[in-house]
Amino acid sequence: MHREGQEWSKYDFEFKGGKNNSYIFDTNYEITYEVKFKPSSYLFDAKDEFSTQVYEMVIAITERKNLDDKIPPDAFIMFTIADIVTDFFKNRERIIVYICDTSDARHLARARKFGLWFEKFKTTQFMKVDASIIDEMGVIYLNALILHRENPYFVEIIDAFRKVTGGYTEDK
Amino acid sequence: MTMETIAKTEEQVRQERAVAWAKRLLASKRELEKEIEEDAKTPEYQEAIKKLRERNAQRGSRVVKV
Repeated sequence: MHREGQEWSKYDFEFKGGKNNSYIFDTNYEITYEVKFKPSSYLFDAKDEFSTQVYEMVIAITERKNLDDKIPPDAFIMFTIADIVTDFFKNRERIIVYICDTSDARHLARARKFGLWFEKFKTTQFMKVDASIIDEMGVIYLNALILHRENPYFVEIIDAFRKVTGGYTEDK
Repeated sequence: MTMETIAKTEEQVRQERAVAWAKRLLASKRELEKEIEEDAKTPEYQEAIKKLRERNAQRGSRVVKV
């Protein structure tokens, strides 16, 4: 998702594979992250031809030496995740769905961070569609769909996402 | 109570479906996060991290220029 023609740095990563398409990387702060893309055809109607190409994306820490320390800001992480997403999109038919955790008040900050990453690295290749869903208790669920603009089901996928989430705003 | 008051509007049904969809996705995310916590113990993870750390050691840095 990086801008063409620009030189930038990122952490090296390793594709571990497995059923959930796992990638791992180590940071300069002795923290190891794992990024997974879990096949999630259940998120859309099984009749939709693209439903088998839907993946949930999760980013989490697997190893951390200093448990007491706050995680410092690390600009290389967003470059690394951008590169991992680009690698995953080698298959243009893939679709990524991301949800921000709503278990605490920090979810809006997380969503903003994710949006910022995408904003920084977006090219004409990818598109992100946002959707927020509010439940009866007032809890907000922030969701994002990322897809390749050359996906053969581009229009149908956005329509399906709009249908399951009850509306969307385009992040161009 | 009349049928009008108990019948859900189309909008309410759509909203409930959307909330159920989001809750299911969030539950799946939490399961995946738990799985990731356990991953570090698996031989597949150990093998992958070994490869990565060997590469980083040869380079003398975890960072690469693209």
